[in-house]
Amino acid sequence: MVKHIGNILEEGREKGFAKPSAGLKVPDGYFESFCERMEAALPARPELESPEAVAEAQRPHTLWQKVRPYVYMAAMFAGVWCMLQIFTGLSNSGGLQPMQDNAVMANALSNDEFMRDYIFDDVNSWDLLDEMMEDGSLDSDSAWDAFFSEDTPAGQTETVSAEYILPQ
Amino acid sequence: MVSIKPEENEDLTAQLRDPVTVRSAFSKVVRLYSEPLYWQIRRMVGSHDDANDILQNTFLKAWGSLENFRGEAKLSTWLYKIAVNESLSFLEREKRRDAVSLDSDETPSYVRALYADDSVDGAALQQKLMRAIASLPEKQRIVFNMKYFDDMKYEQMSEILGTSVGALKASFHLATKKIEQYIGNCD
Repeated sequence: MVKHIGNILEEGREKGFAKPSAGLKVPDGYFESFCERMEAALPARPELESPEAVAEAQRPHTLWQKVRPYVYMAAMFAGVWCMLQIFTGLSNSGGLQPMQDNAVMANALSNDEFMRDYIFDDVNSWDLLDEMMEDGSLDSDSAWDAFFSEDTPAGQTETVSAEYILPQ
Repeated sequence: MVSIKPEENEDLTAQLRDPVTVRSAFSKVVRLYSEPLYWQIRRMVGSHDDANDILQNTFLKAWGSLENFRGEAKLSTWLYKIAVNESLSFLEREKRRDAVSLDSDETPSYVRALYADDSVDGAALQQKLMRAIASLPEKQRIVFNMKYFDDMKYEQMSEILGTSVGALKASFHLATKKIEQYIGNCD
């Protein structure tokens, strides 16, 4: 008949089997000699055992050591603020100045050479005339006289001088 | 399980922090805890020689990391933790060396060690019980040993092993079932 495990464990307790050492043996005098051997085997730890070393470690910090964490924290916040300033400045610089305030742009646009080389490189004069006549800047008669001569074949693209484009 | 009074534990902790008394206090710790730690280790690893080595390593590690013991936990809990970890590391190394799988019929080395030397005695029932315990998985064996042989409270076991009280109770229950099955198969 198989005894229930609970009975076996209880029986074991009653018979002294539940002791930590039950059923196991150690050499005589093992624990006494172990303590002596262990004490002798412990390495030196001056940082724990020397009062001078402990006092040195516990000495009050210098002023720099006291303020260092706050300095580091301030530097961190300053860095974050600088980054925010940079990113904010970049995002604001996307807008252009109004034309009437932009002296550089005005100078460039009044320079014929600049206009010829960079702005009106491939402007089609016929399209330009059509637009000017549509918006009333030019009437058809004065346009013909101003822009075309007998030497200019109709339909040929001409470079238009800036003085005829920009409002006077 | 050695239990010292809370005030004695505090005194000992304070002496361990004092550079003048640290070494003598640690010697006191060795004398107090070497035997209970030894049996805990021995029941895990089987052989006296291995248990002796692991016990030495346990105290050397404790001495080496004494500044990490802040006194929040009991001294015994801290030492048992180190001892259990050292034992588990040893068993892991042995397992790799033996290349024995858990499902294998091969007797693990710690069981062979337990019965290889003449350091085992006792009645047939005791031997049967010890073989049954030795057949348990490592973690269950630790829990069973702590509960049955050291009569440790689940709360303290929980601190040592880092497992919840509920899981420990379940583990102990499973361990007793397995022992029952083992002994039933033997009879």
